[in-house]
Amino acid sequence: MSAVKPVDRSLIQLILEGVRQGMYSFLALLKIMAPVYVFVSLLKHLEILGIISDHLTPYMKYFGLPGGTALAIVLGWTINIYAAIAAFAGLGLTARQVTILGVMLGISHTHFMETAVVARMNARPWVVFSLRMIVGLGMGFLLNLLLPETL
Amino acid sequence: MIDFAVATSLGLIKLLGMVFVIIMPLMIALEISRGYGILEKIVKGIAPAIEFLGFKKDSVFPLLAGMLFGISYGAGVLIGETKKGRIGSDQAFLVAVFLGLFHAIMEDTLLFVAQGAVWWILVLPRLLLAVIVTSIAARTIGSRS
Repeated sequence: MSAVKPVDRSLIQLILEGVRQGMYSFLALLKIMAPVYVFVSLLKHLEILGIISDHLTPYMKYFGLPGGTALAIVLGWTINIYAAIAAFAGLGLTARQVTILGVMLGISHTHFMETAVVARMNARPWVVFSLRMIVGLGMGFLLNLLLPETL
Repeated sequence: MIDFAVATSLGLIKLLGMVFVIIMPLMIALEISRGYGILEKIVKGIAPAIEFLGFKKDSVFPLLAGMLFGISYGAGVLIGETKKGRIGSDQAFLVAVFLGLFHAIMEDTLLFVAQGAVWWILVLPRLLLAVIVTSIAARTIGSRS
């Protein structure tokens, strides 16, 4: 009994410390995520993203993708993967095309939110953002060259 | 306009609720595993990989959290550690580079596999790129300081 007690007390202390840390991290994330979320919702509401994606349509062929996937790419970059999937789910894409989109968007997505979070980490947000954009596009281009016609 | 305000508020509450529900148990698990030396054991097990990528042991938990749950959660854990001076700016950058290329690996992969993608082409190139780019970044930072 007496051997258990100090362990119990330190466990409670550890949990309390975890809760304190959790509140600190949650509030830090809240302060970044709330304004960015409202900003991105406005972009979506004002249909600016559709206009941007119209300009990208002709370039989709470099990734082996139909022009209609430009909207999915832009929604993935700005909002998130779920918005991107909603935009391409009805297009009847092949396994090859979905795989290429998956790699491109897996690497490069939700940039407003995630770049803001990286900025809060003091981790050179512009370098990380540029890296993800370049690598995401580069991998799409490369996979289109390397993958066989049917997967 | 009112529709937009209501939808945005509800979406925001849902998002922050999810962040809260994930980050609280993560931070409690981190404190407990540190207190009982579990974190040390995990780190010891994967020490060569960590060293190759230029990571220090305090970066391991943010990395694991980010890989599993997403970059924001990794960052949430890391922000708490940064405040205590455990993780410096160069380490934070390496964590951000690795997680930038490789995070939320279960969720993203499952979502695209459900749409017909080939899972290993989704996972392997991202992991490989994260390893290569992070180790290059680590050596660049290391030689500069």
